[in-house]
Amino acid sequence: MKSDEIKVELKQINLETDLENKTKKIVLVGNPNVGKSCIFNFLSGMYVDVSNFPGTTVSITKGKYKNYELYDTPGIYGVGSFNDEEKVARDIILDGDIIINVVNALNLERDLFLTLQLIEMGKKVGVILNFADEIKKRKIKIDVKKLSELLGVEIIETAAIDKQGFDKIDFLINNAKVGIQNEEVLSLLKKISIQNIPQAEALLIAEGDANISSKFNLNINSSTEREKIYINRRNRVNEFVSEVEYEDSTKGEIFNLIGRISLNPITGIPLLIVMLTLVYFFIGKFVSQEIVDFTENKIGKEFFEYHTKSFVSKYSNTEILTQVIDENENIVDEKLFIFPNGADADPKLQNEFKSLSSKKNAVSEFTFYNPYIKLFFGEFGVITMTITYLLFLLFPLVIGFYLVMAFLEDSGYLPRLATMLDRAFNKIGLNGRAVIPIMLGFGCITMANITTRLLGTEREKSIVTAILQFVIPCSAQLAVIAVLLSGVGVKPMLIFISVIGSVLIILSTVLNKLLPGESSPLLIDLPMMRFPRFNNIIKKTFYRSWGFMKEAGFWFFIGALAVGILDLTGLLKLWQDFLNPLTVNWLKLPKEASTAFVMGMVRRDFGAAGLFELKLSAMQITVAIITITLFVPCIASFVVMLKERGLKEGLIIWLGTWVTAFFIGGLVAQIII
Amino acid sequence: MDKTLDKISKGHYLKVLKLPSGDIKSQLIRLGISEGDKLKCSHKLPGGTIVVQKNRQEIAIGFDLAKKIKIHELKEK
Repeated sequence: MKSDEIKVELKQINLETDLENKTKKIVLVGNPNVGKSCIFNFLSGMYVDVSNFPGTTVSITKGKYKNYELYDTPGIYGVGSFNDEEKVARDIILDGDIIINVVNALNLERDLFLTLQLIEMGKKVGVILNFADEIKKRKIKIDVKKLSELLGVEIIETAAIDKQGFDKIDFLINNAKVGIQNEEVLSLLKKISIQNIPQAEALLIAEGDANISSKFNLNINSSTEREKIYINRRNRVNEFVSEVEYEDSTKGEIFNLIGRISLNPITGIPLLIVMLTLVYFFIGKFVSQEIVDFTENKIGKEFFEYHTKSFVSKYSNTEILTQVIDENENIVDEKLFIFPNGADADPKLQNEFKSLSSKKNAVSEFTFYNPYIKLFFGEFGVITMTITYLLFLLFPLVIGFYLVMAFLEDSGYLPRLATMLDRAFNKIGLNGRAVIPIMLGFGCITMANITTRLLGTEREKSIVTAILQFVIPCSAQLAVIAVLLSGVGVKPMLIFISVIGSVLIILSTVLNKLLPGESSPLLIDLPMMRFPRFNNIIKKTFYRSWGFMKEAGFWFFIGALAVGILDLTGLLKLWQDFLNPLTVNWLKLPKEASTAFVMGMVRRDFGAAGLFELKLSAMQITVAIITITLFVPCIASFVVMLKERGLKEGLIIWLGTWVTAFFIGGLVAQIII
Repeated sequence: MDKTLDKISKGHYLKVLKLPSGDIKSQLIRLGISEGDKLKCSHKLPGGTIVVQKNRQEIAIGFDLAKKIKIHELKEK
């Protein structure tokens, strides 16, 4: 009784203190690449909490500054609902008490649009004019005092690179206030504000934000108001800028050599090749060979799986084949241990197993006879295989890929690459931005499937999702292809590339013709090229990789469970038997090759190892790699694709890959073998 | 001379006469391109992707969008 009372009392005290210091929220808002994260890091110090915004790949960073909660938001050009980033930023801004708007002093005309919008939302605003150092370097003068008068809010100047002016941020937070309101905009808002809607929400409703209007059960289509408000705002921005900015140097010349080089295809394509080569050496050689070899084999198989399986074998009917292998891969010692009642029942044999299996280069293969044990701990065990795969193979690779993407993104190269490739992507109904999910696809299709969300229309998402599942080989598969192609000459590789290339062109052209609607055109801001900040890259990489694991990890388990059940019920074997004649007669491959196809459903490199031992001719290898490339995605990307694209579209794509893989693979076989 | 943005050549200056309507117009206005603005075409990629420059800012515009933007080519700045 007594302890209960104390608990209740404590609870009440907590509630009271919570009410007293209802922590105010500071939100950092700004266009992309304005140095927001740098300021966030300075203010928040060490304590940072990052989470993915529900239903998006957008991560929100939350920290603490004095008694405030501090939020970082994704870079946006305006508050609205044009894309996921905007929606996330919008919701945080609506919820915020103090808005600190970071502005790139070099791009006032672009950035002040957002500033004015924030002021019109009626929020308390303070403005940080960043890149003050760059302004001086370029002999540009900004009359900060006048701009502050025009906006009606405080402005401080900073140079994020050496934290100049950061000491004034505290002043800015304490003096954040509602800025000068525009009469014309206010009068437009009046009719909405009558219905007890806060000014910020009213503005967004007037701008035609459907999410916000539905929140208040309004059904008004006011996109015409949006244009009025936008043009009014844009005109004021241009006016303000012409009043406060003076330039001494020749007007608006940008000297940005690398930027130019990367845009022009004549120089840009060689630069792209150089970059891809570097990426190949980093990810293809360093991460996927050196690092993954260690994490997957040493940590995953030899440590984690061995110990888990040994533990399970203590209590269950198990057969263990232990082999000791020397440097030349010859078997020097071998023994089959049989524990019908579990290893604990036979301590003598168990000790013998322990000493043999702990020898250097000893490999133990566990066979469990209990079907449930097999399902969770066997060769394709839901627990053993999935954890090794996820944590020790995929995780390092995903980190490697996100690291490269963060580097390309922060350096300003990615938007230029998208621009350079835009026309090529136009031909298949996409715009240059599609380069991002497709590049990620070479790392992991599952990761790329999630990234299709950044594309503008459903139509583009469908096209890219199909391309990813049909023709893009993921890193696991590329490794298999590389091994198979080594030592058979150039011809198989040329045939492979031209067949896959043709399928890509035909598939995307057909989809572009068939799918209704129009794709969104390219419209992107090209930020200055610069050397990325190490801190930001590491942070971005970590948050994205973690976000991916959180979002996709679960589905890898579900996928493994599904295949495990198919295996236990014998359906997998049945399917393999069905594929045998097709493999032998149509693909002209040995019947064992069908294992690679069935197992490829689980993991794209699974079963392919079997192909290495089959002594295939060069042309058979060509057919095999074409077929496994076109073949269905792994079970995890299949499930994630269903989630992203819906059951119907997902299943059509999945079945389509079966048909295409066997049809094209067989067609090539009939011609070349 | 009045034409559409895709017809401009590299290094030339232009004044925006009419933007296509809808969401894309709002996005253009946000980025800083509105009717009446003076811009420079800083790049024209093979195939027709246009990069325009406004003061210190560069914006890439896809060919199909450029075709829908009506402009007036200026003799000089």
